[in-house]
Amino acid sequence: MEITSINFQKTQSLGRKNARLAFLLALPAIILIALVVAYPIGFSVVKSFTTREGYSLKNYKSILSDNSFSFTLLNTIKFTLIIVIIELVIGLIVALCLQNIKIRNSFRALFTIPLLVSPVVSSYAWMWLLNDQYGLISHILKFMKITPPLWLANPNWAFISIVIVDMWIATPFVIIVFQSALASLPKSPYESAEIDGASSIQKFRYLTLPFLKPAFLVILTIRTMDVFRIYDSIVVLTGGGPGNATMSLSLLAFRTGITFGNLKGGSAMSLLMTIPLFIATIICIRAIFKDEI
Amino acid sequence: MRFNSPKIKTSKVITIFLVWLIVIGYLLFVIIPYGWLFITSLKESSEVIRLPLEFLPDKLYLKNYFEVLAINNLNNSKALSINISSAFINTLIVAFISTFIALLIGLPASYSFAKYKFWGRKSLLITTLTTRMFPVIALAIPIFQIILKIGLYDNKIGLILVYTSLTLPFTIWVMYSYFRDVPTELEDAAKIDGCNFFKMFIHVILPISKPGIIATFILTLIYPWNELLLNSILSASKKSQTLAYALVQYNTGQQIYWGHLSAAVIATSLPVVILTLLLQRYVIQGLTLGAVKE
Repeated sequence: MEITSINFQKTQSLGRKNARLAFLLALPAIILIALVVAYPIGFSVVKSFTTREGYSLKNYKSILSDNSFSFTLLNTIKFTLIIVIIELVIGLIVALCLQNIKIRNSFRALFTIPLLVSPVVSSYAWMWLLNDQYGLISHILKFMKITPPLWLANPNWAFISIVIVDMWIATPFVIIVFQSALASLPKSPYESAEIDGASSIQKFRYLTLPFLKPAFLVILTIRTMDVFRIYDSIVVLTGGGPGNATMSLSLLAFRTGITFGNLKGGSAMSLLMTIPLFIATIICIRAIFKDEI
Repeated sequence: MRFNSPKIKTSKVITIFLVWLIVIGYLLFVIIPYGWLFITSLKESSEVIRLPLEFLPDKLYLKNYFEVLAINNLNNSKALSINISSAFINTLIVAFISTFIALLIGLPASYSFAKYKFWGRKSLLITTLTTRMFPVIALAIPIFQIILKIGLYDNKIGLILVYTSLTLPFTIWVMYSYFRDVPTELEDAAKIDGCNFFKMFIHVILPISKPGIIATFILTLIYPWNELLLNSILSASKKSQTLAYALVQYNTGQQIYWGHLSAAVIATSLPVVILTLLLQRYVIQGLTLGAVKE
């Protein structure tokens, strides 16, 4: 990660008149974000503490004592851990391989498609692939004399299917970030390691991995945040089922707040979800902007 | 490679073989789900559910596409057939207008954040960036009530307002890191030439930031194009339904008409795929900007 050599001068101090201009430039954005993002959050916070008898923690208590919430929380954590770890491993391997190929740009372009196409579309593509009667995967398994599972109707396989689909959608992001980081590795440490007779495993362990650490941190936080909010693929593929097997916090909050109209409960639940996300964001912003802000 | 011993040679061959195996394998993994959907979209409904399964269609059948994209009367929708023409048009309108406004407001803001020192800058910037992390559902419940109150429920204007604001933090996030790297000397030179801020911004800063702006444009456009949760809350009819939500509604839990559905899905993602491939340099730059500085 090469910081540009024309090291940018820190922000300028301006005269009073220009400072006002700078503030005015940012103002429309600030107002809009305040109106549609900050105000609703405040609204949500107030709502989540509102009960019939005034303000209290009752909504939070009832959620925390609810079994379906703790089950879903655990489920979401499981999704997050499994998906992020698999993505990191596969992403790093593919990025390292791409780095050794000359026509990597064409591959990279094709790899990015799932990242930009709607998750709804991708989930449908997989739903059709996993269809137990006419799906391609089931068909291939039958051809190999293996009885295909009922992918989306069996609790365990449904969970695995969601993991596969989500991983399929977002691993390209991991590949791209790792690959860009690999492309900007400085050459000289490798040359000196070569002279010292380091093996490629040693070079990977002591040079590449440490250099990739910032990229790793960014991927880890961004992907953790995203998977923790997982919603689209579950809605299309399983609707949270069978039973509760693939329920996620976003979907549960949606069901509670919108489908069943319990706005206070839904608000409280979605705010509880925000706490770990908040921590991850702070880490992420620090990692990306370091002391630049 | 000074020592051309056979051992090193074979290990090198194995490495190259493994590298290609993994890359090609991953490519197939990416392509097959869409490819299979594409092939299905070219089959007649009866052929789609005919066993034993045949890989290729009997003949090229394009009627699925005509049927799902036909512009028909909004009130005259048959319950079973899939038609996404109105959702397609809504998506185009909502996505392009909200992206345009987000850039119009976001570009000056991110430049100001990146280059100038003013009161509250740091905390405002951090607040802006943290809004990105909120789960959409945490915003959706109150946004739903607000939109209802101001009478923009089931209205494209309401969607544009919401999507513009939600993409703004992202726009600022990406362009902030981009503008940081624009040398300040350029601005000084323009000022010496007697340019005021807006002249300087439009004629000097924006042109040299074109790659970053294109990248931000695509990635901002994608959000309303693909967004599901908010649209499912904020729209009630074909008047304001966008693509993702319209497509989800065809998943009835009963029989899904895969011939139609696959055509609808392929047709609506084709613009995104073409855009991705044409502008891939910018897309990748945008995705890694803020994550990796090259």
